[in-house]
Amino acid sequence: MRFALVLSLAMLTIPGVLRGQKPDSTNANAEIEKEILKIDDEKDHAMQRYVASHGEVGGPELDQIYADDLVFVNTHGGLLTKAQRLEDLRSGNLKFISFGRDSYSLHVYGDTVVMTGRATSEVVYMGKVNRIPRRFTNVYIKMAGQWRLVAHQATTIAEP
Amino acid sequence: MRRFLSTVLLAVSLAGLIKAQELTGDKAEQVKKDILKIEKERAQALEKGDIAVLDRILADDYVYVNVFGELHSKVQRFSTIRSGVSKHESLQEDDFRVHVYGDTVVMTGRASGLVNYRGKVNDKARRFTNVYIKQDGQWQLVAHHATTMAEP
Repeated sequence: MRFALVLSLAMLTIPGVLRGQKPDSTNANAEIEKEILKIDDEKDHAMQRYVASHGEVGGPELDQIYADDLVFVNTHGGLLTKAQRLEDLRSGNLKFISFGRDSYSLHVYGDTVVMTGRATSEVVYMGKVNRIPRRFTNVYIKMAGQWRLVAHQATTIAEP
Repeated sequence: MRRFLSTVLLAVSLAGLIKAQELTGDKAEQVKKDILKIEKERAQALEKGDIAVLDRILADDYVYVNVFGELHSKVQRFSTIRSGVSKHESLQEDDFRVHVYGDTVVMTGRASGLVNYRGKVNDKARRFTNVYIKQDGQWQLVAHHATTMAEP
């Protein structure tokens, strides 16, 4: 019985040890891509609720998705911790007029996923309206069986 | 024998469960040193336009987001360097924060210096995020994202 339990646990977790693989189009990666898109959508929805409610709703979901050591670089090059990012969202500095993401690509490396995309949300930040699309990079890492956002960076798209 | 096998399986399993947490301690410090060494090589190679060194450091599926929000592949990045469209006249990096998660490293930093891009010189400081992955025993840069630092 004990052996069977250990074997089951091993079967669940050994695949996680196979890391650092090059990205490919295997079924396993297709499944991971689905999971990441789902969690990224959940993050965005939780963030909208959190902003709209000044931190009353959506906090537990964001807390689950944001890794404790999250590094967040905003479109002004500001580097925020998880606590600072949550405070920024809660403070009322940011408001969403609309929310959107119109393209993305994912690279899977075992338990790490690098996602790049283009966000088309219209936002008001510290009283200034920003309708310019932004390019973002999200880095997700699977920790204790759950995908968590460890890094985000965004850059306003502009003519060189 | 069965007990031994159970112990081995359990040890491997637990390693699998905890591996993605941020690493600390001597091993993490060594990884940080290795990454900062590679980062220095990368900066020097960018100043010299040394494609051979960059080819070794950048993964084949490298994704690059520049301060204008343009998304380039490794091939596109090398094309802009070879053609002179993108030229780092000088490059300094500092304010590094390095997070180690097993075979993944996420680092942020600040870059300054002169960059000539499409005929325009940019001397503004940039914040960047780099993602390194260990593949076949070698750390390679899989993503670089830069944003100009400015007042909101």
